[in-house]
Amino acid sequence: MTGSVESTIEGAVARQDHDLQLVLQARAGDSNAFDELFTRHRRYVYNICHRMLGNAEDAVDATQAAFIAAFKGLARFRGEAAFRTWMYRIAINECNAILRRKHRTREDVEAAVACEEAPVGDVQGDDLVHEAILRLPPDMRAVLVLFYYQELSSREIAQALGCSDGAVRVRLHRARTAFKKQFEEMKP
Amino acid sequence: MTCRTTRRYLQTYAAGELEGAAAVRVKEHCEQCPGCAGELESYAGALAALEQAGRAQGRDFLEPPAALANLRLPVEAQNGRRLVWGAALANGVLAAVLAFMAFQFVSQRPAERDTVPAGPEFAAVAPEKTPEAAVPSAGDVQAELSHTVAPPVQAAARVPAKPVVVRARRAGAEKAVVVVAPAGPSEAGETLEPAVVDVRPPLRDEGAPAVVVVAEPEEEQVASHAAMLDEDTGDRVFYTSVGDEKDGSYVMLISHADPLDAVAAAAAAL
Repeated sequence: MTGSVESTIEGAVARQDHDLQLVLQARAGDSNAFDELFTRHRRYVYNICHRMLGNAEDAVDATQAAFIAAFKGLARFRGEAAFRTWMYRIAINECNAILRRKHRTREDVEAAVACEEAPVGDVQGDDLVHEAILRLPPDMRAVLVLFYYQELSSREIAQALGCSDGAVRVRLHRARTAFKKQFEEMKP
Repeated sequence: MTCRTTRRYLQTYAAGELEGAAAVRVKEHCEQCPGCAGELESYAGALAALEQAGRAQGRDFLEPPAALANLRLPVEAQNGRRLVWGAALANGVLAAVLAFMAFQFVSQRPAERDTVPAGPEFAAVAPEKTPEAAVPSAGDVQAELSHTVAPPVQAAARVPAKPVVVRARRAGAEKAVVVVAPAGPSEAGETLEPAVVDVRPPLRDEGAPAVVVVAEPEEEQVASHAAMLDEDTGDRVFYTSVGDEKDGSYVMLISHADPLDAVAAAAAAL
């Protein structure tokens, strides 16, 4: 093992230890500790929410809601997964809740129809990939975002999605197939 | 290798996760089959674009807008926390009782650790029990199945007509999903005994005999077929899912041997 890999691992362990310490302090009523947890992880949570929802406004709402849910449920976190992984799980739940709420509104139905009919010929490169992901069902979006964007292992994704490692692999397989179909259809 | 079989491997091959004889067979087939070669190229392009987009995010992380600079916790959450902890600090006995209750809760309900906060919005991805807790012993599963099917027999050289999914419940644990090859005449006309061909979660870790998948699912039942590296051991593991998660018919076959190879070998042995 090289020195850089060792230092990376040591850094990750130190970060997790510090997160755990902050969780304990926050549980003891130290609001500054939770603020620090928010500051340390908000970028990561925001990014995954943005990839799941496709716009900054909803991503901000989902990120806020995720941290509030985490604050209320802090007693349930026992450090068996990394705090960030636990936050991913809550964030994905919040994104799914937003998607369900939006899906039920007339406005969203119209937007979805408009989105499906929107020309995509001018969308290229990474934007085309993002668009294709956003057209997949939420469970497929989640596994692709966690695997390709957050670069989580299948085991970490299993922790984040609350399912087994094998289920993640199968879900990833299905999501890749669906993505490829969507990507092919949207390519100029 | 036929086109039908090749296409099951294409995604795994394009993702660089297929090695060995299967990878060679896919490569050889695609060199001679324009249809499969085109499909492979399509997969390779889509997956490369995905990886490229993921790497770009690594470099160009989205910065949260200013609206997310501070966390605005709801007043009731802050007040509630202050109230609880204020009372606890004012009353040492209460604090001790709460600590004892918390300990009891934790020690009696280990399966609920690290759960997400409760609420209807979290129901969609309710946590499963840990794999360790879910793995039944071979004896438990056999006891549960004894009234349903005969004891499993080694079935390496038999090709069952069709697998049947049986769900068995172990006392105090979640369901184990068992795929059973049914009794009856095989394609070669011999009489078959019912046999367990796959169990999920796998029993391999508890010293049970290696699971041999001898039944190829019906084509329309196959949801996916993937070979991936086990992150711990580096072994190649095959995951073949059958059925549909939504209607409860879903089952995943997990094996170290390629189930499609096992079928071919069993057929050749007859």
